[in-house]
Amino acid sequence: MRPIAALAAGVALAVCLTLGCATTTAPEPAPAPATAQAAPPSVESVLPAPTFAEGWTALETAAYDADSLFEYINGEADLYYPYGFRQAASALYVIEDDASATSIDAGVFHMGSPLDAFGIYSNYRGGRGDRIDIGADARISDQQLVFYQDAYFVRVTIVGRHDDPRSALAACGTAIADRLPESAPPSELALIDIDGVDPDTAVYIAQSLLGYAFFPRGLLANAAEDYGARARVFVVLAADDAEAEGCLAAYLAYLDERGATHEAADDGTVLAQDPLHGGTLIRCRGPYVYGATGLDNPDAAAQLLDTLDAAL
Amino acid sequence: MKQSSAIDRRTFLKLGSAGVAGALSINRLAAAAEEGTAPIGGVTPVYRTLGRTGMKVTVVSIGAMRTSESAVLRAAFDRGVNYVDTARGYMGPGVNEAIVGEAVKGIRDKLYVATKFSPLGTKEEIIQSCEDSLVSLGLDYVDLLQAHCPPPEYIQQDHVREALTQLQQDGKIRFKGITTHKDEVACVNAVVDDPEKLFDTALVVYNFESGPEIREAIARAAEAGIGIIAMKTQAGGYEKEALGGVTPHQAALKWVLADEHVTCAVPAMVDLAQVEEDTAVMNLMAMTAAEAQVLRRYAEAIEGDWCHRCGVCERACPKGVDIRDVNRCVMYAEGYRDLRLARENYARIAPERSLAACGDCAACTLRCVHGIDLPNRVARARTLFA
Repeated sequence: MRPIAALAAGVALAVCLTLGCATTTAPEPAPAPATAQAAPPSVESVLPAPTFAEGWTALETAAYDADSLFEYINGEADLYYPYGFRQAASALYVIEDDASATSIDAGVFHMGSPLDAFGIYSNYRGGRGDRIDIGADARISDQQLVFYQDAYFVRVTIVGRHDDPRSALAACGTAIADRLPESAPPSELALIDIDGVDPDTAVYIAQSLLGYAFFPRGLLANAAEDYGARARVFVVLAADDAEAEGCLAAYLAYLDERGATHEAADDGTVLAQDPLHGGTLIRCRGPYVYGATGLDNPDAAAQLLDTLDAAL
Repeated sequence: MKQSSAIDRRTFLKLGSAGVAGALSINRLAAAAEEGTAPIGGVTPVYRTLGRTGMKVTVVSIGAMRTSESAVLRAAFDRGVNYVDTARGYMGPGVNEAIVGEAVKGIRDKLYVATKFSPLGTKEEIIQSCEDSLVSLGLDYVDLLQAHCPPPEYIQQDHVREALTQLQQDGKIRFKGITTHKDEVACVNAVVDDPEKLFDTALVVYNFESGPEIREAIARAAEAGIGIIAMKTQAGGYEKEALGGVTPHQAALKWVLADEHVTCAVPAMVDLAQVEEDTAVMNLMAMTAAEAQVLRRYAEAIEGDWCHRCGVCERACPKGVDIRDVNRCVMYAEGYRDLRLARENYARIAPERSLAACGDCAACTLRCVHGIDLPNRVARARTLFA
């Protein structure tokens, strides 16, 4: 067993590593639950009370803006900015009188919109983890809980030995979720919630969808393997019809520049051999450029596009 | 069903064969790494050795942290990039590593893969983190495992050193490094001053806004055999507008890579446009390397003509002739092909130090330590300035 001094040193190191130096005091007890109509709560106010579960106590909290976010999550901060990052707050919790130096770090990130919150969540959700009923959607593993709710993304991690890490993570996460405004998932997700697409793989990319700068932002999800081992559907979310047409024009210009073969059907659907993603079908309607890529079977994929079209 | 279904399968499959091109260019990576000159995907890779690791990495490498498309990474590899940096924690445990793993599939032996572990945790947890990374990456080993932004005193902690040593002995990592966002100078110096030289590399924030302290620490580390990898090379910004043919991003990268103590930079590349912009910097650098080669050849060519103005010959001349200025005047006449300039300058040499001072010396016997044929040069000067 480590001596108490080692525990204190370990916790201090953890504080330094996770919170930087911009620390404040422990969070206040829970306020009344927020509603979607009320002014958005500050990120600090949604952190759980000092004792979110028996035995746990908050050591310190810290708040971050765009300039100081890297003090909390290092270079990973760059991932958050395209998603309209506003503010973050974190708290470090430890178990009183525990020699194992186990700690929980809870981070709450206020993003630009519910879609942005989903977007950053969808980046983190891809790892191994199980769905859990917290917030709008959540995944939990033995090391981490991530969820989003309204315009907030929450990440809770546990370090050190604990008999039931998932329960501890869930208790902390639930305490945070209870303080966040309740809201439905972003309406845009319905665009790719169609037959033949795995909704659990849906992601929102706020910059360069499919790795193309001319597709500024959009949704992406895996299609059933019947369409191809790497088949995916995508919807570019343009600001208006004109921008969508510009996106498609830029894509066609890119194909021409690369000498990539493509041809258009009578309804405007373009079939292309995308240089990065292989067989691709793409259409434009209204403020959307949408399609499927990584395809093996064009006939079936055309049906997939029709289904997608109906959801727009 | 709409008209689009009329696109026939034969056409579709015919289009599909174009994907072979990418594989071909990938196969040229290894050859280029050895030769260092062959263009790959329009880019001529430039390599430097990552300190004592001996790994020859492309000066423009890739930080995968914000890359959600493995095809973007693959595009970078298609352009010769041979080093990719990720971390266990990027996008959540193992998520970004899995994207990297997808990208390196089938070409792993031609690439260097680096990842990181959280410095929080015990020896066992560090080892487990690495093993989890290998699973996510789909690899048997990583070339470099880095402690993710530890404080300077961290590197001396026994459990860290034991974990890394064991991972290395088990063949799961080849080399060990640290990354630093805070206390950079202290961290880099701590690695250099480590008596056991446990860490091989340092990934540091370095850009045109960096101060002299980190520059000096980098130089000191590089001279001690620590491989230096630069991140945040754009000082956080990303301007796309070109200024005189070079984008600010490219200029920022060139600034970093102009420091010979930096082995490589790992800018984030989110999309194909950024891959092309960043990797093109190697072409700009390659041009500089070519120019340097021209200069080296020129230096060899003028060896024997170019006066280093060391003055050794003058001290040996019994008549006190100003050999250096006489040589300079000969250079104006023969090198610059400007006889007027040569004669004007020769006229400024005091008579007692000009060739007139040679007097009754029958033949010049001076020897130049840099190989100039001084008797011949003096004879030519006599002809030119008589």
